Amino acid sequence: MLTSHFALMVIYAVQVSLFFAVLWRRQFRDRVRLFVQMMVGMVGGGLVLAWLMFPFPWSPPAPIP
Amino acid sequence: MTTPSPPAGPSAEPSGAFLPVLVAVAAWAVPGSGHLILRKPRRAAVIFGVVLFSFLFGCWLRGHLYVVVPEQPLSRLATLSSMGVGAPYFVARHLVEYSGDILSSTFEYGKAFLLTAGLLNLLAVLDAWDIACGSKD
Repeated sequence: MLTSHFALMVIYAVQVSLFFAVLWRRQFRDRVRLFVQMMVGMVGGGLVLAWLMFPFPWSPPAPIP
Repeated sequence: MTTPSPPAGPSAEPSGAFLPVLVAVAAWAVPGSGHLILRKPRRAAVIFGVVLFSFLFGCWLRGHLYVVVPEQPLSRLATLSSMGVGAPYFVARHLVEYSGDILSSTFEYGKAFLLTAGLLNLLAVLDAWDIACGSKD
C-alpha cells in the first residue's frame, strides 16, 4: 500500500491538473502552461503550508517509536 | 419539380433539445462518453482515464465509498459527490459490494480520491452539456 504523503499528494495534483488543463484550455501550449501552473500551485503550496505549520503543531508531536 | 424542404421551426427542435440531455446522461453514466458522442475523442479519453484512475486508486487505497446515513446530513452531499462518477459507483457498491476499510492507514486518502472522481465527472458533465448546447467549443 502506498503510504507516502508526498507521493499521494503528487499523484492527486497530476490527475487534477491534467483534468482541468484539458477541460479549460483548447490549445496545447495553453494546456501545458495551465498544467504546470496548477502542479506548482498544489505541490508547492502544500510544501509551503507544511513548512509554515511545522513550528506550530496543533497537537504535541507523536512519540518516536 | 421542386424538392420538399425540410420542416422548419419548432418541429425541428426536439432532436436539438434532446441532444444535450442525452449527452449529459451518457457523460454521467460512463465518464468521457458525452465528449465521445460530441466527437471529441481526445478529451473523452483524458476524462475517462483520469476519472476512472481516481476511482480505482481510491478503491485500492481502501477509501470510503459513501452511502446516505440518516443521522448525518452531510453524508447526503458526500454520497451525491461519490455517485457523480456514474456506473462505477453502482458497480462497486452493488456488484462488488465494496465499502472501504476504516482500519486501513490510507482510508482518508482513498476517500479523497473517490470523492474527487465523482466531482470531476460532474464537471465533465457540465462541460459536455455546454458543448452540446453550443455555448462552448
